[in-house]
Amino acid sequence: MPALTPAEQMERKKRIRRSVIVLALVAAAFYIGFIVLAVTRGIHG
Amino acid sequence: MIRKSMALFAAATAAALASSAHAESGWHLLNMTQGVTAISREIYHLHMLIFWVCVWIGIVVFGIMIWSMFKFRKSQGAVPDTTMVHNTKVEVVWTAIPVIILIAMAVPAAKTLVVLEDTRNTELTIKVTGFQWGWQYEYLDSGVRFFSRLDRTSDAARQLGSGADPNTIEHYLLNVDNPLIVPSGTKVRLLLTGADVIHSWWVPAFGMKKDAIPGYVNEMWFNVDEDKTGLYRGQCVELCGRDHGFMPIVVDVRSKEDFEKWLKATAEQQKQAAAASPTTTASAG
Amino acid sequence: MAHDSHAAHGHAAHDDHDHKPHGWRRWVFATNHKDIGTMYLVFAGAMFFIGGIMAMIIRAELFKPGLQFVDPMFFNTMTTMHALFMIFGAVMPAWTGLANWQIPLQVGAPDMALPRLNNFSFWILPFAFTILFCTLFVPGGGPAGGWTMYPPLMLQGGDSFPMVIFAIHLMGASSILGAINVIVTIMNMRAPGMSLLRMPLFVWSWLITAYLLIAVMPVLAGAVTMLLTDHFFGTTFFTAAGGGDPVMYQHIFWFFGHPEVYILILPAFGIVSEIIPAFARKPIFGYEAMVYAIASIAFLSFIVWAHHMFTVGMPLAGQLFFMLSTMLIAIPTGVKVFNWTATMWKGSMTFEPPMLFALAFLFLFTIGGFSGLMLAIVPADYQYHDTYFVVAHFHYVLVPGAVFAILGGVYYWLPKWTSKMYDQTLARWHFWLSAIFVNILFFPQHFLGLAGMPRRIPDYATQFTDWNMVSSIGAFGFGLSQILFPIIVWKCIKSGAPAPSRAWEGAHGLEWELPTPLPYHTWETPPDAAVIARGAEH
Repeated sequence: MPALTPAEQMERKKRIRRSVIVLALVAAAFYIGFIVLAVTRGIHG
Repeated sequence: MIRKSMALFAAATAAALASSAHAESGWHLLNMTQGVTAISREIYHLHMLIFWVCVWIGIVVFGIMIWSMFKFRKSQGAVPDTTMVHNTKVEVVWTAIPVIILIAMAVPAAKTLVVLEDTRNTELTIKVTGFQWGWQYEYLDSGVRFFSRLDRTSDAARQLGSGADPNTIEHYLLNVDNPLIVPSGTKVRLLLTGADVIHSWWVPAFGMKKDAIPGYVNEMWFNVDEDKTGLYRGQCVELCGRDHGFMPIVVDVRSKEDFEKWLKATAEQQKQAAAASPTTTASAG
Repeated sequence: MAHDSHAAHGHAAHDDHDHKPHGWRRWVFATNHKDIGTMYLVFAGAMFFIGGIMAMIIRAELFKPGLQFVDPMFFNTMTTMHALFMIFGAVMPAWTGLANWQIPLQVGAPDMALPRLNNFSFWILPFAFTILFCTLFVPGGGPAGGWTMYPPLMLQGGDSFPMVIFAIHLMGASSILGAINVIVTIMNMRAPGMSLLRMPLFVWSWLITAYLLIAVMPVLAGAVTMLLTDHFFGTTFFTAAGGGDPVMYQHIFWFFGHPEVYILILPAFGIVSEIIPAFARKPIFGYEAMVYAIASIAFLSFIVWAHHMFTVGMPLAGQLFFMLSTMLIAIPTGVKVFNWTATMWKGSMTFEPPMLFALAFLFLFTIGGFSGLMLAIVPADYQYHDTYFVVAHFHYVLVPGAVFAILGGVYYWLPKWTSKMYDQTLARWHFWLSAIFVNILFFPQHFLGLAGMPRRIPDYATQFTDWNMVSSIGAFGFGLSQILFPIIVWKCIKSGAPAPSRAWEGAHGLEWELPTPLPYHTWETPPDAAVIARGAEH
């Protein structure tokens, strides 16, 4: 069984952290962005 | 357990049948009706076309599924062909066939839609305002207007715990105090809007429904066949609050002469009523 | 946070191989994907029964004309809450539960990538649904504007209004966090050698679903936030009197709403693609076509939203566009149905409970697809729209569609999860009763809709009586037969016979390579190439 070496584990953790940050930013940008956009663009006059 | 549930089921069904026996049976109500306008008939035929297309696709696809369920079962000694995982030719074919069928259906649908949306050359315009919970009709050329609500008999019977049997009431929930009156053989245009929330105006026999939205004026039209005078019934079809289920629509289609007579008389009557009490506008038909 | 939790988890796992926390701490502080998956599934089951009771109230009132039991306002509350509980409380959490259990097992990962986030996204849900449920008892009653929450009607809501919006925000946040976890797990935690195109189709379907969730849940959040500011802070986004536009809300809502219905059904496609090959003892036909079909359905789901609102008065060109784009969805969906059929062709089939549910899915979902195609034809939709025909359509795709796939999935994997076999005879009873009653329940609703019965009405004209009675009888039968399900599961956990590690003869996939009884921690050492190759014979 080829267990993951510590170096590989570190690498995996780094990749996880990176993709979490990217996805969280995308989701937060969508979430907040959409609300802000809707609220600001929707006010008439 | 199965016997018990079957018995229960049979008893419930029998009870259901018994209690509805004295009312007009509704078992035959299975399909869209053809309606009384050219458009509603066209929509009906479109509906039947797509229905039969689906039935035929269903027969072929379900047929193959059922066939394989009988033919390729382990108990029949079927040996799986594990090499059969991919076949480009077949896959292209079963992608292409649906494309052709879809195009064949989209063309007549688009044609009907173009006619439906053509509101030119209308001969009579009526403004329809949905409110919680009823309709107001206003004949724009003559100024005749009135409200239309659920009739009192239905309204009394539909109250929670009224004790009234709806089966004894004629046109339960589908009757109004003042029906909309329109001439047959005339292209009638409706301008729809909502006073408070969104409503939707639908008479199935005319083949069309449109939403009545506050702040919007939507258009739809219908043209009832010359010889199809009579009463046609429908309901509000957009959830509009507590009494959404209790704002029916009744359209009284009369011959052109009868309609003109009625319109003239009502216009006169409403003018007099308005003159008599200048503070209130006419509201009764 | 992610880093810490992962390290802590890995540490604990290495120190004590099969140690698991006991008592309430095991569940409240759960970070194990199996425990969290179980909690999601139990929660979904509970919501399914609460939503089911609401459906029973609806069908009891509709059993015959006249109002017998409830006030029209409460009836509207029931239709609204039934939808919210079933969509956000039952089906979506059930998918997340299955994802939690299966994705790590199927891609050879020791756990989800973000175990603490996983715990958090689950525990949001009980709070959200407690708030939602409590709206029934506040002045003015629960939400009664339909689950679509169209303004201006929704703005007439009482004290329940802000609570519903808060609950929806919570559900949205939970779904987004769950989706992030799924994507990160699939992208980073796959065993070496488990390439994307070797992944089981259930994992694929969830990967695509997760992207849909991240894209559209914020849209719903935005829409309901605008409702909130309209109600409390004097904005007029949707109030015509202040220059707002009520139709705009419908566009925004359905831009969320249509991808949402695919969020509910895509994982079902994935599960059926696991079950049918297992019981046909033959690899799935056209694996790559299946992946591309899911992806194209997901893409198309973003450009069809206005087919829910043909009657609002759109320009002709708009109606034509949305009709054609909607019809296009039939093509990838057709490919999927044909591929499942081809998988059965020349197979060697047996009909255990999971296969029965998958086959019922195949037939009945296809019927729902047919009525969907009919609804796409705009002129015909002018007749179908907002009638019981629509109710029949979406219940066909959601009940014998999504719910049957969930039940099939649980019956498929339950022997793996518990290492015990359930009572298959009882499960067959559950299947046949469900399959028969679901048709008695929903098929007559097609007739009612075509005969002109509007949806969301508490009372109806007398000519609709007969088919409504049939439908209600079907509903009571269907509701009662679901009680079998928790009994079967409970019996299995308590006293099921030991199941072999490969519970079904034809089952393939990494999860079946794991030993029985299933260890608390799995794939701490990733599977080797031979195991992956054996598992990946889709």
